[in-house]
Amino acid sequence: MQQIIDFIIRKKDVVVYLILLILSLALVFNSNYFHKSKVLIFSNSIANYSTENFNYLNEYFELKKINSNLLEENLILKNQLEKVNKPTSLDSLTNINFSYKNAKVISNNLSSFKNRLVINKGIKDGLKNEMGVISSDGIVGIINSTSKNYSSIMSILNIEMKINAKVKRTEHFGTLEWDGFDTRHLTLNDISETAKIKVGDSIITGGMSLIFPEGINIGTVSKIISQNETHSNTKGRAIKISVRDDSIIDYDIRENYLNIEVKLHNDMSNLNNVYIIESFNKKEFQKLKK
Amino acid sequence: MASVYLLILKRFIFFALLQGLIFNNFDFYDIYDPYICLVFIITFPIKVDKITFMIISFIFGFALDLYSNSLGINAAACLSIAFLRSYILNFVFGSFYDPHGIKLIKNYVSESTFSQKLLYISSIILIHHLVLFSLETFSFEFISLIMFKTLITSLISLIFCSTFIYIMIENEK
Repeated sequence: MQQIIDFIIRKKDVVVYLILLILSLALVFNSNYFHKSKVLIFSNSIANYSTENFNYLNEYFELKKINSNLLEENLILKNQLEKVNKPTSLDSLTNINFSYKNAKVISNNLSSFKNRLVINKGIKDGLKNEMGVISSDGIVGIINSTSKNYSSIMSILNIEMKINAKVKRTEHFGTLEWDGFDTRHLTLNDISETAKIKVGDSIITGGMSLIFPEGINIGTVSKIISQNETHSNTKGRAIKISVRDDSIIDYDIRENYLNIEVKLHNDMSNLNNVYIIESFNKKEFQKLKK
Repeated sequence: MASVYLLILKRFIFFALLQGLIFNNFDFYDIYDPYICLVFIITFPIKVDKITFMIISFIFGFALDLYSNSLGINAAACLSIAFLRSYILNFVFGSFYDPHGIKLIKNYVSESTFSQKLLYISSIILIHHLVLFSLETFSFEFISLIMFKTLITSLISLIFCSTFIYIMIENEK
């Protein structure tokens, strides 16, 4: 026993290091549930408070830009109002699936692999987890934790994010993902090679998940890479052999997916005003899915 | 000794706010931020004992975490370099290094060769970034991504940190 205590005293640096390291790793692994811990909400809101006050200063420099953006958006909204005033569909049920709330971004970073945003509305304003967030130009992300006055959003620039999207012209569905580097482009996977997609096609949300309503603009196709090309660089011979064998051809066609590079409409680095989408039929939809 | 802790407290607040409010939004090519907060750990007084140093670095990393909306990642990275700093100092400066802290950190920086300074600062920055980015992704799937980003960000951080330390020492003269 004496020896063990002596050993610990001699190596006390290492012991303290290991204890603190385990503490920090525990924080990393539990960070998804951090809204449950009241201490963290308190300390987080202090950091958010100072960021918000600092942002007042920054806003003055961007007033001109914000004004022009708002004017532009007003114009679009007015045009949409015209269309709404004329009764387009008799089914009133489909029109109240979603409602919108607005909020302001108070902190936003692009530099990490799992980017998050913080907005200035929280539980007090009726926000909950898994609500979609969009800006006037396109989608921004999904809310992943809320405190009383603030909520944090998992941005689309997050390597764990997967969003259901489709090509507007051909209606092919796929999954949007981020590669970790390029903040202007996302990749759309899982679209079969038989789809006739051209550069310049618009990509919109798919509406398979009810987090985002169908038909919100995301971006345009900027580059199409077929997986055949990427394969032939590495193991071109293997593919040639398998094509000759008739039995495998069918399998090969099923395996061929396109990698489509999508250029985002919105610039994630200067987001100011965002809209939160609340979906009314989500519970019913999830029940049906089970 | 009390004046040392006052200096540490001042630097703590200064560097946490500088990193959290300004340099986290630096966005060089959109995704690279310089980690100027490492100046706090590079120039931390040597005469403070190691356990206190590690606890302060842990709290410092935690403060940075609150500004970057992540939890524990910066804390673990800052803690690791605080633990490794005495070994790095011993390795880089050899017999010049004394663990009791009679010499100040500015003696180390001003009375050593260029390659020693570069090795000291860049090894701390590289280790910090490697721990930070690998904890952030936490999978081997993105290993090339981590390496690439570590290299580029280290280069930017190195330029910013060494400039900042140079200014600090010039001011003290």
